[in-house]
Amino acid sequence: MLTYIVRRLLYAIPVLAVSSFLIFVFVSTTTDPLEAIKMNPRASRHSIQLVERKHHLDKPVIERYGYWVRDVFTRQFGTTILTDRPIFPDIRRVLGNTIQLVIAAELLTLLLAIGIGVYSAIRQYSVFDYAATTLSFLGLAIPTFWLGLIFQIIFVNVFVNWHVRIFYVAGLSSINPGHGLHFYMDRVQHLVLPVLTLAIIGIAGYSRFMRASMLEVVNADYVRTARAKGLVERRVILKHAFRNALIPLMTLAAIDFGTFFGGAVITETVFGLDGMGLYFINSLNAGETYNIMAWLLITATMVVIFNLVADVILGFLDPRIRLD
Amino acid sequence: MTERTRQPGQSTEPDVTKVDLDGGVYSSRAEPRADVGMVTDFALGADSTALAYESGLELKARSQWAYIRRRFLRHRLAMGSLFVLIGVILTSVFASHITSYTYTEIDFNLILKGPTTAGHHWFGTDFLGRDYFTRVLFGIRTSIRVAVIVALLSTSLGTVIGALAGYFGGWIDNLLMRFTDLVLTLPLLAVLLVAANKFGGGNPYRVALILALLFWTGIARVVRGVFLSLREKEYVEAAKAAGAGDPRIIFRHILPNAMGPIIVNMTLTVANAILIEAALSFLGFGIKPPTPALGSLISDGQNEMQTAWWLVVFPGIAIMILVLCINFIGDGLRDALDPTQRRVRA
Amino acid sequence: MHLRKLWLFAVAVLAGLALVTTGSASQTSSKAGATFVIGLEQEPTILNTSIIGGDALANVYISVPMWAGAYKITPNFSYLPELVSSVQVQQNPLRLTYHIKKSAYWNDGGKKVPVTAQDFVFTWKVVMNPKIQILGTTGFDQIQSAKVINSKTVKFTFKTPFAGWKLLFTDNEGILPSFALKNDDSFNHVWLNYVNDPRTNKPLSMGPFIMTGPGDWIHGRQLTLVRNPLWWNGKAKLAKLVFRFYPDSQTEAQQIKSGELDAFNPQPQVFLVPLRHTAGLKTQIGRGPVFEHIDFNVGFHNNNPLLKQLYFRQAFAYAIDRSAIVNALFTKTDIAPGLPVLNNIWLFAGSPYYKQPWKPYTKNVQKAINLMKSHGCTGGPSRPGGGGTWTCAGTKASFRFAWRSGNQLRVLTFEALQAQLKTAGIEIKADDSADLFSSRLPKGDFDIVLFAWQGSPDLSGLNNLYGCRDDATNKNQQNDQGYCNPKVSRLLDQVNKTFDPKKQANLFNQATAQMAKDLNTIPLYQKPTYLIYKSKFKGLKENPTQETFMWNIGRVVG
Repeated sequence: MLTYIVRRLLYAIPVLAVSSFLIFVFVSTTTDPLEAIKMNPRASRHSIQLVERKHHLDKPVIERYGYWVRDVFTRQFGTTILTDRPIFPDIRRVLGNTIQLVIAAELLTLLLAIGIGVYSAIRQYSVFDYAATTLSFLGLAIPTFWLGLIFQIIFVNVFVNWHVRIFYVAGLSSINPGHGLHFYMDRVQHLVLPVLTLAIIGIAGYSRFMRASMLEVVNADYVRTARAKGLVERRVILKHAFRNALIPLMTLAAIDFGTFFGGAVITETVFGLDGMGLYFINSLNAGETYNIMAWLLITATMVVIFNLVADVILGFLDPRIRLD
Repeated sequence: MTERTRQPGQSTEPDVTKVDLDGGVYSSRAEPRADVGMVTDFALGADSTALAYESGLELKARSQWAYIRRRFLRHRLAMGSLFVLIGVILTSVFASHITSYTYTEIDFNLILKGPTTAGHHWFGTDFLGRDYFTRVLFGIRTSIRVAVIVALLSTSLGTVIGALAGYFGGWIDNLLMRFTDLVLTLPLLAVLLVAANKFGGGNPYRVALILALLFWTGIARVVRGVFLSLREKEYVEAAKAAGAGDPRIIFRHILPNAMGPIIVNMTLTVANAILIEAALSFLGFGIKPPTPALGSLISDGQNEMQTAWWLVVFPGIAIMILVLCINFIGDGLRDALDPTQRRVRA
Repeated sequence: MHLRKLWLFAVAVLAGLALVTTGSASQTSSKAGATFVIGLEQEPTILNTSIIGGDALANVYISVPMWAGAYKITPNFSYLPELVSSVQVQQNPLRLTYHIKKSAYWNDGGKKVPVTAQDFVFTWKVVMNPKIQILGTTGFDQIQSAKVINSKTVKFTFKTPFAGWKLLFTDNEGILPSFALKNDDSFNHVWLNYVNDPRTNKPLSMGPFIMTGPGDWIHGRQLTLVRNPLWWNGKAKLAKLVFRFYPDSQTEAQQIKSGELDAFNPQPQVFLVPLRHTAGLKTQIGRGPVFEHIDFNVGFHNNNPLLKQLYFRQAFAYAIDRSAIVNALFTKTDIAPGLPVLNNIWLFAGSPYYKQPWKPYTKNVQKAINLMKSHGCTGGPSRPGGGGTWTCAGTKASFRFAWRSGNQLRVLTFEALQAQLKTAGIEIKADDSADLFSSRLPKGDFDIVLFAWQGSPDLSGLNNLYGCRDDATNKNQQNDQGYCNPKVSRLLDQVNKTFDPKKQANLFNQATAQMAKDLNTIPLYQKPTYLIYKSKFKGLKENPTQETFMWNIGRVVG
């Protein structure tokens, strides 16, 4: 198992290299950070050239990629093209914010989705199952921003009519959040709604998946055997069926978790959260290639690592699988 | 289809033989089944066949697919959803005959009016006074086209890749999975931006193709997981011993077991694809105006929730119905394909 | 099941949190003045507004309260003297003598440092320094020499006359502190996170507000300015300004309702209209110097040759109904009721020199049809709405209509135009893309395009856009339409040299009158602006120019 993990980590390097090269070429050839300036008839052509030369914008793509690789190792991801802002402090900040949001949402999602999915499967075609199914599809069909917006409207109306602020509808913190406990309570109050938004949609998807997976298992031979042996139904479900049904969901969750570090763009936009998703969108619109590359390195690394985690889970929990 | 071979060591003396009204054959000996009327035990059927011939009864040999089809038809929810889905699709195909407006008919006097029976504006009007019922119907048409193609393409692609990787293992698995990792690391929007630049235009088929090339990774990993765990199973060994080739094992034996997650994933992809379309129009790569699509209808109206709720609610309901139907059909398919499923009626 | 218990536990915790932390409204006012919270849809990347990248709109809101210039631009596009008490203008050659107000000084870390002639000269030198990535050198590059007469008087001599001289020392930061900065490459990085005196690292300001340290800017969230105790032009009534960064105006709309925001400046949209009728909120609707227009590609060859025919462009202009579109987009939706059609370019209804050369182009579909028919086109309708598309000399009247993707208002404009043109037998197809400005316009890869220019009180420099283009001599490189009328070129060149505003406007109007006949462009409307704020703040006045509503923030009371 250890050699497998080490080998996989080594394979990650060419994957990251190819991925970073592709995205660098994609972004640098299709966006132009100086686009807005060039549209201004009063902008100084000379200054534009200065910036272009300083950031090698006039060189061929391969050479620019080389400069970027050098900057990753020697200058901590480098600086932005416009105004030479160091990238690393910004990305560290947004990553931290996204992690708070995403971990909370994922935990909530998994807890509830597993519960609902398992119960739906055990009581297939019951009222609970139908209700959960319909609500799941509602959750799947509702666009994220809509859900977020509804939450915002509800709690803003609560504030306007009853003058009580239960949850904040935007931002990460208030203007004067204070320190210590007060700061954390303030942060929680700000994050509840975005976490709920993400969780509801996550639960909609995962519970369906859990249900499907559980149904596969519940009809399997070994479960039938366990029942035939005379085991209590509850034990059959929990000890034999549930654990095996959990495996596909865990691998899916592990893979998804890898992608979460890229941020939840829509949720962050609706709730005004300073996270990785918004950082990516703003950088893409501004044509800031280095920002996007930094973002990409982090997310790609996370994706690769969690894919590995998913495979390890699969190999570990399912004794039928040989990882070689 | 296949001939049932007699299992070695089986008794040839059943007590009673009955002929099923539908033509199937079953025995009422030994284990009385709860689901009367359905034959799910092929092994029993084997010597009943012999007995039937002996007693001169007419026998209809049913193929496995016939049983699958029958199980599906009995799944009430799936059948109901199938009818609803066909109904919705037909409505959108014949939209121009149903509504009295075209989807480009602008009326500056009726801007952003709510749903009303006056003038048959059942879904209200939009920013330019166009009838929203018409726009939603045509939007369904456009969205279904793109979304279904995306879902089918990406699911097929992902299934194939996952199956190959999981079944053969070794370096094939390694290569395919590293490729999957690579695709997973590429951010969707950046790739779409490039595609929009290079290929331009809003050709829905091109859009569908590009989306499919990015959506297949999830299902690939799940299918791979299923194949990894099932390729060691006894019946696979048995099939190999009987001389079955790899494709046959993959498609007949292992793949049906992965249908569950595959179908769930496909329905999730349909919903996703419809909504992604809205993001595409921001990059100039979406469906070109004035052709409506459900995703862009929603995104155009998203901010007006408190003043013009119908702009988002009606396309949203359309998406929900589509996703619901496809998923229930998927449920039915999965139940029908699973030979160990006991209860089939829904 | 233990899962259910966990679920109940989670719900209990959330409910408990909610109860425990309710009622924590944000503090907004203290005895000595209120805090004013402003929403911004963008975050600056640097606080230096003179260099490339520092010109984002967000920068302006933050820097106007900290800087002052020779003039201030008022909401009706006129110049109000700020740092100068008077300017003497002499012609042939152009010589400007600035008399700086004796009362003007900087707050340099708690010390009063007077504004001097050296500051003016230094500003000019910095702008012209080739190592500095300065945003624009317009006008400064025509200064030949500077003479310091005394510490409060300076005289600039120009190589060539520059009619827009009032913008000098007014744009961006206005005047730079010569005592604090060096005229070298360090200016490209100064004020990255904090507006200060780089020598002492203490705060620096010439306006009603000042920063206190780099910690005032919490990246990704907010930036705080406090009242400047040493402001030369009075004392600000507000105690604090807090700028909060949001991704879009929907979030801001929710925030102002929930009491966490006091003012914001969004693009007017339908969902903001209810805020105009909300108790406790006020909305000021401005008409910005940004105006929307349609341009034809009349010069380059990779397009439909019909575009070069005047009769086609005239048919186009008569087939569309501009007032119906403007009415539908802004009056019927109650976004900006009464917004008129714009009938001139770069000059607006508020200006005393506003003329309307595009006024004759009102809806007359039959006239459009007759124009096409009389020039030999076939296949089109004989009456409005008759169906069919014209073909003229083998070319079909079918055009690509471009705009920059992601703008819903433009999509609606396109759809309305498409329907109107169809009744006259002209077809336009959607051709929007994300790279319209960065690559397509400069390459001339378009047929008809819809976009907006940002106007300014200064009419000079427009030869760049409409004058005859000559790539060999780098002349008028921004003319992407390929439009060339020597008379217009001459007039616009003359505008650059004319100082009397009335004469300048007269020449300009002659040029636009010709352009209205040539129909290389069709103006649509001035883009309205919204200023939405809590009514308890008095004295706010929306300023659609580059000063923004921060222009008189020192006098606003909360």
